[in-house]
Amino acid sequence: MIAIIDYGMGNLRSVSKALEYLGASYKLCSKGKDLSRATKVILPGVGAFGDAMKELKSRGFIGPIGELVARKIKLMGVCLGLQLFFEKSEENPGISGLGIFKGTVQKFRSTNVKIPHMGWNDLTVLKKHPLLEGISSGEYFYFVHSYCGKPAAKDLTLASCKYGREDFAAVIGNKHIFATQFHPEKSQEAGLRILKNFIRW
Amino acid sequence: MNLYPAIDIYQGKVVRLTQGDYNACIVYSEDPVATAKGWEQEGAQWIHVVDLEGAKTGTLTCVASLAAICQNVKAKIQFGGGLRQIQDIDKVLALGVSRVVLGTKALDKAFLKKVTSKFKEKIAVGLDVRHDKVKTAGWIHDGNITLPEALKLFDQLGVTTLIYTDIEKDGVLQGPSLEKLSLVLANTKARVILSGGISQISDIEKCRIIQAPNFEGVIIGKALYDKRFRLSEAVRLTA
Repeated sequence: MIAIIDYGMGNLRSVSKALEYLGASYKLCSKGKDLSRATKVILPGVGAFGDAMKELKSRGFIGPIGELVARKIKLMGVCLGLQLFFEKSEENPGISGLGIFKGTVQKFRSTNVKIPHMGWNDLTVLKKHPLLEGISSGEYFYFVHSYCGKPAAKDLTLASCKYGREDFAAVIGNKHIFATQFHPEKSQEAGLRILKNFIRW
Repeated sequence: MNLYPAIDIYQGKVVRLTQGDYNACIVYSEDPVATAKGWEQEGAQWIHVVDLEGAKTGTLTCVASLAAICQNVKAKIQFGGGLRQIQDIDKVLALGVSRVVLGTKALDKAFLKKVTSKFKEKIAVGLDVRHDKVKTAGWIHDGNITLPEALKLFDQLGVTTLIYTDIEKDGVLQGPSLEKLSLVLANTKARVILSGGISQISDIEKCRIIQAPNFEGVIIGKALYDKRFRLSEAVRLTA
């Protein structure tokens, strides 16, 4: 069963609709303990890092998410979901993230471009991953964000994207965890392909 | 939910009509490409371009503007107005348009069947409704098909996207009729884009919580041009 973490932060409905469109069944989970039977989990999210961590905590998700990572349950983060996988964010310096990946979330450094980065931008695929099957460099995805994750381990970055003069991690992941800074559920065919790969993963 | 800022083109200019009245036409810009770039900078995922002259005359007229928009923005382009022939659809798709909208001509069954089997998801049908009747020919002539009849027919003919316009609500900034929209959503398998009636950011908020899985998004026109809210605000709200 695919569980979608429902913690009151944004794009949950567009993610669940996209899964419905692809014919996959899913469960919305609004409490940490509901995750125990999940075989795959999606952490969506739009909004501020600190608010999101507060909501995850108050709904009892922190422990259960740690457990699923330990049990190697497949986990996908979308947008803010990706950022929450890191240890901390410049957005709310005092607040700890999930800490699944070493590294921090930083504000865009480029001064010659508009922040937030909103709209279509193309990827450079750096590494193979089952969820990127059928996706090649130059394909466009839809982004809305002001911050981006900087993984300490360089090999976690599966695909990058350039905004202004800055290359940032657009897709990160390893064997069991995958996350996109863009919104696959809003990225038309290419985005749906990633979600389809996730359903099959 | 996706947002489709609208660019209505009439004689090469960006304009808005109120309730489909060609006499009540306001010119917002002389440069459609600049308008498209502006929407893109505010995060537009799609841009809805309408050839108003084409919608009226039944012939494709704004090819140059359309080509320039497609070349200059990465946002996906949905285009309608004046598409009555297969070769015109081929032509605009070749320019880089992602989805075409058929109005009047789509109500000819044989033609519609032909284009949905040829172009599949690239076809959307504009469903212009006034008093529960589907209108045709750039809103000037009355169609003779009721809304439920039209919805059933479009499903049977393989239409995957409908653009639903409540003409009474279009360009008058009074808020959309969500009851009617939910009726449409419940009676079709197609994805439905709402056009007409979005007048303030709270209308976006109301649409955002629509549960129907086939609700695809909203077209926003006059409210953006009148600066009732910014597209970027709506993009952030619906991301």
